[in-house]
Amino acid sequence: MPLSVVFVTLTIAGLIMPLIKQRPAMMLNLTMAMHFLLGLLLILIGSGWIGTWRPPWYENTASLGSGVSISLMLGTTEFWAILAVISMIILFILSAYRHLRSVSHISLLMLHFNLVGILGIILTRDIFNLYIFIEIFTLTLIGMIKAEDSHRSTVQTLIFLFVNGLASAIFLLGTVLIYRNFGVLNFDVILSDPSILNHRDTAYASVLILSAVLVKMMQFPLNFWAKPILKTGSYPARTYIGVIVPLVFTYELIKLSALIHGTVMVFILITALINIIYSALRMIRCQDGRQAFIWLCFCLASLYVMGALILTRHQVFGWIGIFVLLTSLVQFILLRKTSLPDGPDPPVSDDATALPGADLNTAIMLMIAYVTLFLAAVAIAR
Amino acid sequence: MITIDLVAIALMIIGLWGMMTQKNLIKLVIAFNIFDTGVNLLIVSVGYIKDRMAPVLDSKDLRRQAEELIVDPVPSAMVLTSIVIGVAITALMLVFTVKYYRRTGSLILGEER
Repeated sequence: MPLSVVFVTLTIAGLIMPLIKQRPAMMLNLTMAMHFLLGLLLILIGSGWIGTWRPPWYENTASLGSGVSISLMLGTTEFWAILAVISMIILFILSAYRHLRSVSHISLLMLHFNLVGILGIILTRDIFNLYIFIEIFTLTLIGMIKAEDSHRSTVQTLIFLFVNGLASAIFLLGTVLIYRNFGVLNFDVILSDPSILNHRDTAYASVLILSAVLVKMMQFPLNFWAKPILKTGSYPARTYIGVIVPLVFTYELIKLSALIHGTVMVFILITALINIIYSALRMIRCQDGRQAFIWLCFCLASLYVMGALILTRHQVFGWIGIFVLLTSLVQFILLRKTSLPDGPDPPVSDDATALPGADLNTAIMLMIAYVTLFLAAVAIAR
Repeated sequence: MITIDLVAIALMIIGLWGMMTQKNLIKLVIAFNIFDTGVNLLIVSVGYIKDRMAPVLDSKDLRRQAEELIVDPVPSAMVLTSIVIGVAITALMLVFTVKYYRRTGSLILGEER
């Protein structure tokens, strides 16, 4: 099913690409709407099959009985997530209208795949499928970010690729740890079985998975390396990424919330709080509208994480949806307010001296230290 | 199985060390691939069951006794997907490395001729 979604999207994108050059404004809206609806339909049809997938020789089917309430919970959050994503896409279309010249055709093509990734992330209930869809989502972001053909953009994309690749491997390690111990990858089964949830190895696996998710959603402590990545994209792409990345991954954190133990929760909340304070301070001190925009993105992304996790603890899933939807709308409106005059963005300067080669190494070392600290906190708490 | 696990962990440590210490982009890509291979090897080792065969069921008898005869096919399928994703990431890394080289004439991150 995921393959068919990609195949259909690719075929339609190939057919539509020549038309985009002739009537870009009309085709932008048409392709966005068509791909979104098609992807939604295909994944909704397939989600039953993907969602109920279980590895061979899994015999404990009795636990599925209590999984109904978990399915309901996931279903509710899925509904809210889809609603939030639809609203963001409509806003993106409205935004892209005014900045159409700065949206490259490659960005549009990448957007189609990006939607496939988003829908997959929202609707799948299998950890490994989640990994695949996250990869589709994050790799297509690179195509959208890489709108500017500048030196700075190339360097930042490379750093993004390396850090992101490492985070993917960490995610995979967490997935393997769960499969090795319990032979399951299905969320419904994992969440409905207390013996799995309370197991020590689940805690370690969840730390690995959550670390990867936090790195991918640019919630890295003090996220100094992630900022220039957003800075290199065109205005609509930046706005889209700035809103959609925290939105999708916050939903992901909500989905994984049952795996988040007390210590891990405190750890994430502290990280989010540090990010909010740091980003807010940087934003206040910023004179340039572009810079302030990016710090605002980070500040609100951390706010998503904090708010969603606190609300999850109180088990009010409907409120989480409302919270995410409202904050994303507020974020988009604020981003519009901080936007620059109409027309294409000026080219990004090739300031190579501002990008020391140590950036990547420092980012990777910090990431490893962060994951280790995370694991140590869980080990001490237990 | 412990040997394979140890080899996988050793590969991951070598890959991480490479990614943290090297500045040459090609070496960084190689280091990432070593790390990725370590992770893939670890996944394969999860599905391995001693004295069992590959899950190729080409006869009815085999299919009937599959549960006792074959290794767990799920990790193999996972590794296959993971390799494909790894190749895609590596290809992207190399594309940007070439772009970087054409622009700067150097493969060292942050250094220009």
